[in-house]
Amino acid sequence: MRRLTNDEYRTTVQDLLGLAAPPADPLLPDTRALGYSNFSSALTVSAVIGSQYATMATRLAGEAAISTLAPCVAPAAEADCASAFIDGFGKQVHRRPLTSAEQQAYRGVYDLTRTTDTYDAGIRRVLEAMFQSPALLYRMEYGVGTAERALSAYEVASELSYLFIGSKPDSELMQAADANALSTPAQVEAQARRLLALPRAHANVVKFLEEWFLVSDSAGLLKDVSLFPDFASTQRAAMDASATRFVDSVMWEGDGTVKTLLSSPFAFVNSSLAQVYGVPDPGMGDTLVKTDVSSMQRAGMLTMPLLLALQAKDNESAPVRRGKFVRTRMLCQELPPPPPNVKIDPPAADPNLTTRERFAAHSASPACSGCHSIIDPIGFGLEAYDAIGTYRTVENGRPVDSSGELTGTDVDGKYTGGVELATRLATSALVRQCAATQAARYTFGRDTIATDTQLAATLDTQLGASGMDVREVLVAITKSASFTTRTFVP
Amino acid sequence: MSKALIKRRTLLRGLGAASFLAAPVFRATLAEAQAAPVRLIILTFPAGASTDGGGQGLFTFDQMLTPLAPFSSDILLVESVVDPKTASGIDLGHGGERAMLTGDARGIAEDAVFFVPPGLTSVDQAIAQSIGKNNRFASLQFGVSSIGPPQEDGKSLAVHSWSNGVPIQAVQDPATMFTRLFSGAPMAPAPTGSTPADAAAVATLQALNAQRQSVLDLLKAQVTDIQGLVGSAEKRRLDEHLSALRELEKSIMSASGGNGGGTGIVVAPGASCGAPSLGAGTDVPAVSAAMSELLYQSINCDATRVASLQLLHSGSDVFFTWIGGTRGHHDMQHAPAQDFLDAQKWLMSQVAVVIKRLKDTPEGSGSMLDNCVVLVTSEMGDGVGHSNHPVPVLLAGRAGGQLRTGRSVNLNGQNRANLSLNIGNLMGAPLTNFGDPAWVTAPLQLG
Repeated sequence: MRRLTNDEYRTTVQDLLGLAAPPADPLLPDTRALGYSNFSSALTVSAVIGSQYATMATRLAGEAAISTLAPCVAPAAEADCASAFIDGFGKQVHRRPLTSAEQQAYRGVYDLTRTTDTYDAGIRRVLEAMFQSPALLYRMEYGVGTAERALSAYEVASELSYLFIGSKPDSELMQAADANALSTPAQVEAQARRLLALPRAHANVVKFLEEWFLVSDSAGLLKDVSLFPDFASTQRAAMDASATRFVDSVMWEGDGTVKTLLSSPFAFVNSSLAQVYGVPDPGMGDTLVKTDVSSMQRAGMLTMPLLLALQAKDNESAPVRRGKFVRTRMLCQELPPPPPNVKIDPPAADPNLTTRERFAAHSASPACSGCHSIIDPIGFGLEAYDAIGTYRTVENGRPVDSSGELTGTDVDGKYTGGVELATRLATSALVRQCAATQAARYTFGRDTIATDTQLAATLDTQLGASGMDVREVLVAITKSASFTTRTFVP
Repeated sequence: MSKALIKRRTLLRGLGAASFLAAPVFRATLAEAQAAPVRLIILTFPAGASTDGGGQGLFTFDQMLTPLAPFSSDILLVESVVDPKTASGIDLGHGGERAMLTGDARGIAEDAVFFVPPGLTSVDQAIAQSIGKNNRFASLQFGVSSIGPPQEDGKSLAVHSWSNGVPIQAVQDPATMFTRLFSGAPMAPAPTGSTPADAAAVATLQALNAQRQSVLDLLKAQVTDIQGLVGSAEKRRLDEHLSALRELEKSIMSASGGNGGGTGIVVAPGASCGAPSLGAGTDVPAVSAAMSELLYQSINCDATRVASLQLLHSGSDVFFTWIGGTRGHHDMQHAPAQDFLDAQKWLMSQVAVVIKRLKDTPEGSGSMLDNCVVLVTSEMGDGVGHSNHPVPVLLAGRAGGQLRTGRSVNLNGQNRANLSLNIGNLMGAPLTNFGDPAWVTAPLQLG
């Protein structure tokens, strides 16, 4: 059972009513888990959002065009019009045909209202109920059967639809569900490919990648204004837009692979980002321009200023955070928590030392070195990027040492700098499998389970040689048994 | 209207904010009506009160509690309470807040707020379930935070309330809370029906409320149907959904003159109960000011008797620029200097705002603060080492005369989670089966 995210709810309502834009009524923000906004464990209907749904539903119902949604012209009987509306619109809301009990319940609301009020008022009251119905708010993914349950065709239709277009199933998908034509992998795949080819799929795939790389929301990111005076005013927002453009470009103008995401020496740059990227101002003001950047300094996502700024402190780089990022987000390796009684006391900024020199204590202390020896050497390789991701060769008057080392991976060895790190990760089977694991998290809105890991390995053998096309990974997940069955947990 | 005695319940029947401001209403001396209820207010702040892991640290009236010094006679300083280390020897650190509020440290060292033990219930919820039925809101959760970039590990530290294993997200947007408190009830108060026009209005209102009730009945039935199908974890989430629908139902009942909406406490010339004006800004001081006032008004208007406010959390990483801060709160706590003391002092100044509002509100022969239990505490004791030995705790207010304030009590290393049992007793809602029986054992001897 998965509650719709706020974006999904708004887009669904927009589609149901044919609105020009998603309704902007306030909703309590979605809580993230493992970086993702769509984890079922974090999304509930609390009293706060429950009353917001109610307010929103009342407004939407009050403003709905009843003559379009539920036309009723004599000699048609109003009661028949109401029932027809409940059946037809209700099926779109519930994303499946209504049961007769559900039909009667909605009809009861209509009838009660109609005793003292107009036909339109009765329909509006039904709409008010539908827009906060649990059948709309939750994707049940309940299935039929016993412990291993096959999802219904309608549940599969919703699953596909929210994965690729972030909204309710379109008419073609509903027709496929009506015909029970979503039961074989080939049938599911055909619909997945159709949806993926729709323009509105673009933003949803980009959203997955941004959440995977933890760059989907930087609005609260602050930097020390004395060191980075333009960050809050112009650079942060520009970095945010630049990241989205980059991912979109690789996915929809490029080959869509993990390899390309981690190795492309181009970026979207405007006047405020030119200095960060060390390139000439493209001269288009705030407009982002696709620009070749130094292939000695940049290689895709991992060397992107937004990502590096998010994985940094407010005034300096953060080798530990960056190392942890690579381990957990890109290699999907879990790290143990710090040992008991550890004094978490990072060295204060010493104007005469580099960050790396100050963090050397980690490797010197036996209590720390167990974990930090697998974290810090990766992060040290990104020391040539400061707290907002500007490339640097000198820190505090001393030369930056960006030599690093990968251990415990399939691409182990010493390296120097972010480009070499990214290039190496771009060829790692572990990273490709992690991409599939992350895609499964996003697809299913839950943490990894054993079948995801098996699927990731399989997908690597199928798609790895060509660089792991993220779009193909998503399609392949929809063809897997995990997509169309659920294990019931009592 | 302002001269008539009116029921506070009436206030909450959907009068818009403008009505509140245009027609302030007044509180009687409660002694004339009935004994004032005891209210619980929980205020938490991040990063503790120490720079060296020991003793009371900065949690004294001449250090970070300076803003609270004017209220020292209303405060009981609870010294030398701790969060014991877990069985595996882990210091709870950030998890201390959850351990304190839920009486349960299980699962904290391993992980994350959203992977909570089944049944985990925080003290505010346990008490609200017992005493909150007659208020419009059984409890309210407020939060002040930065928006903060998303964290990988999902430890949304912004949660400080749980009901039967389901996290209850605090409201961090003042406008949302304002709407919830002051615009949530959909209907105007029922006219008396003494004239034909009034009678028609009554009939219209009753019809409208019957329609709204039919919608809620349908929704409750749909949720209940789903509950029959799903597993236990999802059942609990749907219990929260049902609670949300019941809260909506209360506002209809109150609009219909039913018993759901208020307390029947008579109010008359005295102090006003009204909607505050909201700070327009989205910066932390403006949000904090708005939330403090909204919390105060929710108590003052008897919209709830159980309210909690999380004054930042450890993921907030706020810069405190308005008092000259130049680095994030997280960096400050790991390498504390004067800016850390200043930041903690500022947080206490926000606590002082709430306490002052309560103290300035006459009630009975004293103040509203006299009839409150205000718990002020932090997730951890010492931000440098993330240790919780001891943790800062103070109680403000006299809980209707049950609590002796203006002093301190030294508890010699007892578990602070036991304080929940004291709070339950003070609230007239003794807690049974609260938390982990190995963690919560007996009320503290507060003297």
